Amino acid sequence: MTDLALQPVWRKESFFDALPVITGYFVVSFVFGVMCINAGLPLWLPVAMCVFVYAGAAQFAALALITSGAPLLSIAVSTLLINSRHMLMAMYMAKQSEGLGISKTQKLLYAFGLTDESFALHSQRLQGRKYTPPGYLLQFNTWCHASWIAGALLGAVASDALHRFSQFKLDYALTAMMIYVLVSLCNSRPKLVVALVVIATTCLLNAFFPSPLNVFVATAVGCGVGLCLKKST
Amino acid sequence: MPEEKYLIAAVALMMAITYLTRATPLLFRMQRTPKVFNDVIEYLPVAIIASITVPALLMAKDGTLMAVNADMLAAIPVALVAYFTRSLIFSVAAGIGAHIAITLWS
Repeated sequence: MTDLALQPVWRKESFFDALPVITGYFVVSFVFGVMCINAGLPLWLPVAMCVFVYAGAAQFAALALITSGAPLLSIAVSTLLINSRHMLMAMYMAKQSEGLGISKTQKLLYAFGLTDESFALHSQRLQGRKYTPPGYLLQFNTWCHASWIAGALLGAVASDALHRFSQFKLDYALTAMMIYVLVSLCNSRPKLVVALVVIATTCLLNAFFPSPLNVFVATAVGCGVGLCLKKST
Repeated sequence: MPEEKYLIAAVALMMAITYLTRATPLLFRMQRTPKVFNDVIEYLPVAIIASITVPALLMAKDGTLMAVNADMLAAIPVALVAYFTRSLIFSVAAGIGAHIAITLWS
């Protein structure tokens, strides 16, 4: 069990690296907690969702479905569609985590904390060839998950404080962080071209067929373009 | 209030589905993958992040273009600060600062 992560060495570094995610998650899940209580749901629901599901967009979509009394099947389908992009991210992490000496148990723990934001920062760190033990990755996810749960709990408890709190646009920290990661991943001409192709493809697809699955098509097109660029140089 | 059983079932279902989409691919064996795969995987992060971040700033969920707004405008200083400083904290600070400034002045 000693290699299971959470060595104190990585606690500080992962905390500071995760700070924008911690801030952003707290604010977003605070709003989630407030919305759940305003929708007349019991206090345990937002907390349970944040502990067990831990998927922002899917939770907000489910909240709307639950309050309209939608069947469980549509909640399941919406969760699957929204979270399907994580399969791509998990595949990338499966490949890249091989060199890190990660155990199967650690992979199963890591999967629970894999989100858009943790993927963004972890893939950026791995592409920067920075030494990254599994303990760092798991500790990072633990910080983020803890702030996600704390936000929902406080939001649910203090649901009338929303108006004063929402003036501060702290949840923009998440968007800003994603843009930062995108800019730093575009460190070569082919990667920049891939990013632009993917953005254009996603927008075009969304304009005609809005769907959470568009990210798959756009990523495939982008990677194809990247491959051609690599071959021609 | 919706029935408790329904809520518990919803949370359990969502947990199972979310976890499976994240855990299954992580357990794939990736030791001997073809070279094409290794070349493609290098572009995965940039492609995924470009796809989930930038279009969300430009378009609504139904695929219609959005009017110019604070989220969109604040992204410009973030990108510039990220490019020139390469610092996450400065980029995020610039983003939140610009966002507050734009909302206050508009």
